[in-house]
Amino acid sequence: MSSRDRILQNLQVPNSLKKESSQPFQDSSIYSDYPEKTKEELIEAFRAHFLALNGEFFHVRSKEEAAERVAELLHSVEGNRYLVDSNPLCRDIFSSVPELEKQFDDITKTSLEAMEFAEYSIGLTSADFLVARTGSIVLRSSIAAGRRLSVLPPLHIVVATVEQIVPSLDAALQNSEFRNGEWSYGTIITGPSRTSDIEKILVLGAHGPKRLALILLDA
Amino acid sequence: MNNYSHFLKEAKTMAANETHRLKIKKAITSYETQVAAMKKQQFSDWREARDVATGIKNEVLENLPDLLQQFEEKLTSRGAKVLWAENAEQARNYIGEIIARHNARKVVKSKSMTTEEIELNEYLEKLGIENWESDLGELIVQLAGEKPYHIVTPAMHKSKSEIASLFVEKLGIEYTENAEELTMAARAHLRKAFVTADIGITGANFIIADEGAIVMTENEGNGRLGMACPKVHIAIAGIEKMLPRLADLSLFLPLLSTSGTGQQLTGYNSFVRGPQSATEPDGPEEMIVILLDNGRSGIYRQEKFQHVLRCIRCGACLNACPVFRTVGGHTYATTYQGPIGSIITPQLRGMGEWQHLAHACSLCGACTEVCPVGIDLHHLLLETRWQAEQEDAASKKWHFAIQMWSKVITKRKMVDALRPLLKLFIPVVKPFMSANQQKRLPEMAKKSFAQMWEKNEFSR
Ligand code: SF4
Repeated sequence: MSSRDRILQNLQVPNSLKKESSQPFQDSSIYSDYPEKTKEELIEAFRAHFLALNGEFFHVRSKEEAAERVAELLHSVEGNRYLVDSNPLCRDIFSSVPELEKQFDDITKTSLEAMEFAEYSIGLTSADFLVARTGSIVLRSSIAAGRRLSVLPPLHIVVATVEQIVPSLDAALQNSEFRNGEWSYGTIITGPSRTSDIEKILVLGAHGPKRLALILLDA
Repeated sequence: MNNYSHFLKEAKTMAANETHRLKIKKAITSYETQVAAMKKQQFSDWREARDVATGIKNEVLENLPDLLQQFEEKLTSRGAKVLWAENAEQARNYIGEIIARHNARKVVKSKSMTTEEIELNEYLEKLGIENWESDLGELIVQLAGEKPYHIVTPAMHKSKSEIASLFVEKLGIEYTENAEELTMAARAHLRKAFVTADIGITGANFIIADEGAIVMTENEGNGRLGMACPKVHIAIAGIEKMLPRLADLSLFLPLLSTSGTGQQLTGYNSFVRGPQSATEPDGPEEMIVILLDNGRSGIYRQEKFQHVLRCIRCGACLNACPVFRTVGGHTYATTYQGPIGSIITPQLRGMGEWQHLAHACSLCGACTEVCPVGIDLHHLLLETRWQAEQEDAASKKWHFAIQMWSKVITKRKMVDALRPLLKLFIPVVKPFMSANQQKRLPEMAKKSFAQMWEKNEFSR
């Protein structure tokens, strides 16, 4: 008998616990700050949470304006090597950033060692969802950012549209389009990397990005 | 020294250690303020959230074998491997085989209590494998040559100045008590490890049946790096970490972070469904999930104890426990400290060796009050005492003695008859008793209560 079968057999004991319902649970019934459903309210809820987490928030009306904000962010860091995911919107915005000596590398052709030593200062990615209730950004590896791009560089810039805001986490996690497909990794990002392991003092940028910026585009 | 005398000795020293008490008080006070505020801010009714979570976890227990198989099927369909470990040794051997197969020399670990449970660090050291703890708290205790102090906050007992001296010695930095500078030193120290490690080892906070995914909760990003950079990712998960549906995370992630650290959501909650897929730019070539039993199925089979498997390891019961606060995490000498540890350690590692933990409890119920999955902790501590009594041969004699004693003591006449005898007995045992300073035998009254009552000596 294999270990697998033995473990499963050991668990086959009639259970006296009462049968519980297996209804998927609804966020709205539990949380006091379940956001209202108008678009403006969702944006406002997201913004408030995101700022409270030390995120940098930019709401823009056009791609041009988005490119301007990106340019400012590029100026705010040292170095001029960036990683950009292959999402068309990201590429579009990034390449229309004016008069800047800039170079972005394709993650698929960048080795790990190169990523460490070249010291990329910015990773620019798209996202799948923005969660209003918690100010979180949900992204999967299949959006061509992969796993490393959003965590290695010290500044992570996310480009997303207002259409991507959902009220709460359950809306994102129950979305069938999100769940289908060939992705192996996803993450819910709530603020920049942080730690309080030393005397409960909050420090940003423990191992992941020290700064997290969101450029929210009116579609 | 056996575990019991170790506990007694440490508890005595720690209880008198004022510096320790102040450090812990500071940490837990700050924790409590944040948790109370977040419960209010986030939940319309915390108790309702707790009840829903309890219901989902009961559903898990009821269907655990099916859910485990569903999880395995889903995850393996995407090219990951699932290995089942009956005990710690088997889990270590699995890891040893993977290391040998890949000819690996360097491992980067993120915080995981299951790896502590199977004593992976000691095993890797024996194999001569370079092993980097990447969570800041874990790194601090690793550098100090200690075990984690607390399941959620491993370095809760270390002050800034202690960490500073440690980093000066081990990482060669300039002395600084600035928490940010210390954190940055750890970041720089570990960056290289992530990029050069052959294998990333993580735990899992949840495993999801309908999605075939493992979920990792963290704030620092070290877990994400460990799952992104090395060619091989091994995750070790206790079989009880199960949730039926991905959407259940929408409750369990906020619940865990509220109870664990007072955050609305922990910084990064990542789910992994397999190794790098054909369409993705990066990720490990190989992903292995080790499902760890190691005594859990034994708990599962006991009706009274089964529900401790609902535990999500949030650490709230440790913080609430007056005994934990007084004696400190290391006194337990277990992987899991505090109330939850005092219940599961005797179950997982043997009643005889560990039952004393269940007695280090005043039954105040503070743990039960805070548990986000409604585990009746203090009653289970009592239950553990009962079970220990049942199993212990020595206690059978004790039981017999107590039975005889109660026959005597419940009869007035017998007591009166024995009273003079007792008076003779006290001076004999007194010298032995006073050697133990914690308890002193009282003086025997001249007349018994009954005698005084009869003579009506209470009238005024
Ligand atoms: S027993 Fe409850 S309070 Fe204690 S760690 Fe587990 S879930 Fe948290």
